[in-house]
Amino acid sequence: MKRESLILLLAVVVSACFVCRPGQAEEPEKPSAEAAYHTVHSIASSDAFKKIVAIQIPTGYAISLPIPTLRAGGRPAFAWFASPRTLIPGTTPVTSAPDRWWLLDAQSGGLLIYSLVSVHPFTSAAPAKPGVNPPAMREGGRAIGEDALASIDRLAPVFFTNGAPDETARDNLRKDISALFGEAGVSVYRQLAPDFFNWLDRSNK
Amino acid sequence: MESTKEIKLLNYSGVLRVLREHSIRRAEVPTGYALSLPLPTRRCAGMPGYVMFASPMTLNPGIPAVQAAPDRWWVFSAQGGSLILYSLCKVYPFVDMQGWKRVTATAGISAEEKRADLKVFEDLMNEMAPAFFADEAVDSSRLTALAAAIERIVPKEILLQYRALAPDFFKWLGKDGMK
Repeated sequence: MKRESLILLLAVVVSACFVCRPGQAEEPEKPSAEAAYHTVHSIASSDAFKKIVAIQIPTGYAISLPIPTLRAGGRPAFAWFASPRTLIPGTTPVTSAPDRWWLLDAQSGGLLIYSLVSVHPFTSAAPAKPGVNPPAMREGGRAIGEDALASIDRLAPVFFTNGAPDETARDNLRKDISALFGEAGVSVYRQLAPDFFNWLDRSNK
Repeated sequence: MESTKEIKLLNYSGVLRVLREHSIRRAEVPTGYALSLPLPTRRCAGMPGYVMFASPMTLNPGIPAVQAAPDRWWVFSAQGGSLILYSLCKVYPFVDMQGWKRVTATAGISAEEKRADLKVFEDLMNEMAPAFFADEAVDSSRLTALAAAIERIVPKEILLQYRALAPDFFKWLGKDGMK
């Protein structure tokens, strides 16, 4: 039997060789303080992330920092976007507006959504202008923004459980992100994960 | 709508090859799920693509299988087969699924007959998906044959889900009221 036919057969014919795991990816678990969440480094090392980058992101694209979010129906997740970048020798690289984005589950690491911005945008705001978008997470193979990533690691579990942000970590992250990406870049990140940035803005006092 | 006249699009057998080889199916669709047939669509910003869903199935010996409502869906570009969208339905559903119930499988035709029906369907789709993407008129007898092939393969209870998945395709087929 042709393999294509086998695949199609799954749609309509029950086969005894399959094991049912009903309920998978159904209701998101309520975030809890005890839950184990990926760190930004562990999720960037996950198979799901590597496959997205290897298969879905064209060479030369700039990939954002992972930002915690609950925008997927309250499910703890990390969000990314990726932007085309024009590299012309002797000139400054020009990064265009993000053209794709995705969310990975912060606990299982599974893919929650991947989409081209033209199909399902992450914001209703007008696209950012070329050249004002955040730079790549990696430049020349070197990780940048390590301080920001460390701050995200400290803050993400607190955010997921709606705790109060540590003032110092919050201020450090704001400074780091602003320094890395500038105001225009930060606004793109805000569009990606508005809930996280609103939480950061929340005063503890 | 983007012109497709100069762009070579994947035919139906081509998208089946993509489905077989793409990591999304192996990595994101749990074992035991039922996969829908891929259907041609322009629902993604007018881009020509093939859309499909996956549904959890419950299998217990001695009782009919039960297929739950789809919980994830995705679209391959018809221009090369890249993934242009994947989503859990709880994050971004392809339609309002409220009221969709589990469907219990009923005894139907044999697996051998089903395979033959699928081959007929594949051949018809190879012939007619390009016309759908180009929004070209097709002889009504061919449309009728394709609609009949779908109705033979897809259980009535599941057909509602297919229509919601690719409403533009069913409209073109002239069968957006298919029961």
